[in-house]
Amino acid sequence: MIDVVQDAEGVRMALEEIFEEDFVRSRIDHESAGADEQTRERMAFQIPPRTLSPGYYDFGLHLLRLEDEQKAGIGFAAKDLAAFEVRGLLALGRAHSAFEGRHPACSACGTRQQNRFGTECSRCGVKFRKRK
Amino acid sequence: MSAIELATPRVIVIGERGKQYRLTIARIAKKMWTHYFDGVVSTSENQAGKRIDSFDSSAARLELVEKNLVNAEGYVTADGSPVTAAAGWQALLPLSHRLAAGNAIVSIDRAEPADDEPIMLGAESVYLNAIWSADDKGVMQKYRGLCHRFKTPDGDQQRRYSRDSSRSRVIGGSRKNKTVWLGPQATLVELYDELILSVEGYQVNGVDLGADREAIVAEMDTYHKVAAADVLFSPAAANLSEDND
Repeated sequence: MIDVVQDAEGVRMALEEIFEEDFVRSRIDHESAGADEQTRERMAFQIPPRTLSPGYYDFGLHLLRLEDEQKAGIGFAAKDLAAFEVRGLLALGRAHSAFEGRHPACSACGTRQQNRFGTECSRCGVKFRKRK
Repeated sequence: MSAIELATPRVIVIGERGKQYRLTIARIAKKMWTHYFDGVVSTSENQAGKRIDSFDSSAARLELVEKNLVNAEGYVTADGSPVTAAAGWQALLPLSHRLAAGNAIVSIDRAEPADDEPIMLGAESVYLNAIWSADDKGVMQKYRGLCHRFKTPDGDQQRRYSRDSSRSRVIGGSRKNKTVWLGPQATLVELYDELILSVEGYQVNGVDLGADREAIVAEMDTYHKVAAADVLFSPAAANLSEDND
């Protein structure tokens, strides 16, 4: 039996899956604007299925709530967090880094790209410079 | 409507084939309720991409009833001795009756506010409907609009609820296996005790609990505490319109 909050690697994977889901959902919302219900349903199949047990995602959502509070400037002392929440927030940081590495943001409009190999922004069309 | 009397044992009346059976259940202590919550099995799993949730409290309910039954009337024994004289008489009662008693003692649902008063800032009211005990005529009564008024939870209290309601264990491996939820009930009881301001519809020995915080914390039924605090921390339904135009 696995105590979900102690499995930081599983939590990180679940968070990455949540980010990927959100990414695909927002792309579908953008691409299916004006499409009929059938087309939207067909496009929804592009959302990757979840691979872990549901407890990982619920704990992941709890961590995202904590992060939202921190970003909003709602301060709480480290002693108010359980050790597993601190480990979870570190896993959340790693999940963000991995996701952002896979889907870099356009420096002009901020849109996250499908992958890091594109030559121009999928939204605003700005050309990306190659790293030397 | 009369108030729930918390101090006296509860009488659950079951009608079957024209006869009435009365099961008397002693006041259920916090420890007993905690044991019951520990026995509730709430799980979730992914099946074909869909989350399937399941909840089973029947075994825990049966145990709770059997441990708290203090009398049973309407039944007969082979030798004419009192029902309660036999060792382990509680488990000899018909299973359907024990299950019915178990259903009655956990029968609580969220109620809509009984008044049209606007919401007061800094305080939140939660309303419940609950079955408690039979009246003098043997009719099971549903008490409606039981009110619990709370202070508005602060950020720390919301975090504690969020943390404990997301705690779980996974059986058999992290992938495609069952999540067993640990349940936030113990935390909900703590939060209830911290936040409660007043109640309506409850009394002890004929005296309304009202705004006597100490008495509410000491006397309120633990299951009602959990149910009320759970409603307090659950999101209210948004007022959605089907009209897109």
